Amino acid sequence: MKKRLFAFIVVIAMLMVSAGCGAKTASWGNLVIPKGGEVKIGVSSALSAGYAVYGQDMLNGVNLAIEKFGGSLKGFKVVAVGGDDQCEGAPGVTVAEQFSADPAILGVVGPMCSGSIVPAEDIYGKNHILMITPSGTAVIVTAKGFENVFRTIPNDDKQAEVGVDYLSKSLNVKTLAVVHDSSIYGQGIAEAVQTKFTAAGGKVSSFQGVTRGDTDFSAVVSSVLAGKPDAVYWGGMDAEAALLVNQLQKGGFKGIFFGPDGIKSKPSYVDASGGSAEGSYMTFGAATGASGYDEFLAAFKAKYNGDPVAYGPGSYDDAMFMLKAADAVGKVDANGNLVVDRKALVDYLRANAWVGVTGRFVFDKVGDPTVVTLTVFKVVNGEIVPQKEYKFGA
Amino acid sequence: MNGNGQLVVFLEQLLNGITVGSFYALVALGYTMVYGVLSMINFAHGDIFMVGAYIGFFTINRLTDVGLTASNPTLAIILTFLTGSLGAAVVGVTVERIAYRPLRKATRLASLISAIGASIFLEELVRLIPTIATAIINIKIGGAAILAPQTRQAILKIVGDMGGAMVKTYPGILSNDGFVIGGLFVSYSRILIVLISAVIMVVLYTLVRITKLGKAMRAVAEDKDTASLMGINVNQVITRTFFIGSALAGLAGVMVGMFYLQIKPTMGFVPGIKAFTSAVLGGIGNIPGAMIGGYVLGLAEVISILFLPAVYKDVVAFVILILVLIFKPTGILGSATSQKKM
Repeated sequence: MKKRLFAFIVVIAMLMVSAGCGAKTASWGNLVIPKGGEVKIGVSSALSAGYAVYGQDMLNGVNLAIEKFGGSLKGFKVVAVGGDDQCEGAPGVTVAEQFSADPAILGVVGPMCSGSIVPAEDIYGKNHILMITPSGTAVIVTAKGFENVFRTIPNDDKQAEVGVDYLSKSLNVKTLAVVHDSSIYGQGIAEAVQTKFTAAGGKVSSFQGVTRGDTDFSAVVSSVLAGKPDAVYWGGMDAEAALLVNQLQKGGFKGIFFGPDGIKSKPSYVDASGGSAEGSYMTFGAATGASGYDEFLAAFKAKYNGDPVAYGPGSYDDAMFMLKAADAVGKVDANGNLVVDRKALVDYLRANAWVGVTGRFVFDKVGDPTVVTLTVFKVVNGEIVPQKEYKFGA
Repeated sequence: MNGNGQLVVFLEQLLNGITVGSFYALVALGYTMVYGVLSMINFAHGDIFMVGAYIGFFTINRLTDVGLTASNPTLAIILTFLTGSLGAAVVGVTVERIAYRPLRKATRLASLISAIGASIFLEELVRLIPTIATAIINIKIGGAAILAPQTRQAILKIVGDMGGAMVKTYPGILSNDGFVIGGLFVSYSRILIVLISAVIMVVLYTLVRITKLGKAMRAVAEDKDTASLMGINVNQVITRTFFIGSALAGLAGVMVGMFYLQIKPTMGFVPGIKAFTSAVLGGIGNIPGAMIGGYVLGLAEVISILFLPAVYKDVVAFVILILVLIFKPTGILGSATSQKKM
């Protein structure tokens, strides 16, 4: 009995020591690609159902970046791998687990939606996989403090600030109704807009959540319109926005419809609304100091036979930064294998300034861009046209 | 808000409920009719509704291509409704033939599982049609493609209207306009939806009550073997029941497309479950019951918004289903015997 107890104590002690050692020499490990192998960039986005227009746009952006980079990293072929996270938490986690289990994944562009990022970043964080999202705007995305998480888009706090400023000052809206899709992203920005609009002296006539994927919003429309708002702010994505704006008009609404970056899509919002999106507004974030956008646009059009929708340019930048950083810190060892130190990759990304087609990015310690621009857009004759720019941190 | 304003909101919600209820009722009829003759739940029915929406979408785009939507929108709408419901009817009959008829003598569980399989098959088929078509037309024989690039482009454009993972958008053919009556805004499209549904339901009810086919359907519902001995072709009656039920679902699918604009391969699931709830609520197997169940469910959902947050809409619907199943499993109009009489 005594022997057993002793053995037990020894085992516990060894475990404690080994755990302590592990913490001290926290190595993130290396990406090792054997000679002749492929380097993969994971793209976690919605590739089916309602929000697939954005997801495909991201994949297109990454593929173009790989092509422009020359198709290979230190002689190793680079490919993009799409993972369908459906803009939801659970599939986002599945994709994160697949990507983390794949030893050839250099890093991940995405996930597309804050709702996927929040659970998925725990997995990417644990496995030390570099993650850059061109679209995850919820404040909480970078609030967990993971070193490997970056984003190249301003957060929703700034987006709400811009939306409220434009609504109350430029559009002179006094009464606002807020509707959201009950997602981490949609509800988050809707709450920020509600708080800021009230603080700016406006009146929020109603604040309501609906269910994603629903098609009939008529009951919500009726209760929203009962408050006689000058404008309706939508916190959510394109597919529901197109239905909501259409049903608002069917319900007799003549006011302003305003939304965040999730509705900046010509095919899946403007065209999908049956004309009702005409005259509505949205905000979209970028950074200042962009360079080479026109060449990017020409190349994109030539390759995909159409304009980027929303996050294509951002995804292009994310993949490009990832490849450039990997090119700087990666080495080919004596056996001809490609070795990239995962920690060095992240440190290099944070230590340098990056100029892309959506802006010049310097990342702070949680991975947020320090200098950003937000633009208010309006739908005019079926096209999304910029109206006013707001700069932060300049 | 004054009392009058509240009244207007209440009336508006009633109108919303009746519109949604019309969709539920149309789809619920298919569930209830099939249950009436076969005592089985056709869980692929929601997907027949989706197929109808896609066939309608395909039709209206071809009509737009030839310019009919612009020159004669009424005719285009009628043609779209016709092809949507006929197409759905054909698919419904085919599903019965392939997935249910061989299992008619098997346990009830077998056909239920087969129905779920048919549902998944239809959903995935619609989602994959463009992928499959692309693979087929890109087949190369001896290094050369069979079709010229232009032909391939043209085929892909047309096939793209038949399905795919992305959301498709109906052309906005119904106007958003309407009229105001006592502060209540009523859109024309809403009236159209409610009227068409009401007319169809009256026609169906009459059909089942007075025509020979209706009599045969009721006889089969009562007792298949005896009906067969009386000279009724049971298989034919079942086929016709599926035809009518699926046509109604297809019609509802086209209506949803025209009214809400967006369609997707998964669009049949939730309305399917809601319509099933309506059928159970009204008393499954009972035709007027399905209609009443649909309207009651639609109204319950929108009225709940006056008291509860909008996200609880589905919760309300399914709580009703559970309560009905616990306290009155035979539904509003159903009784232990009339269950099988239609």
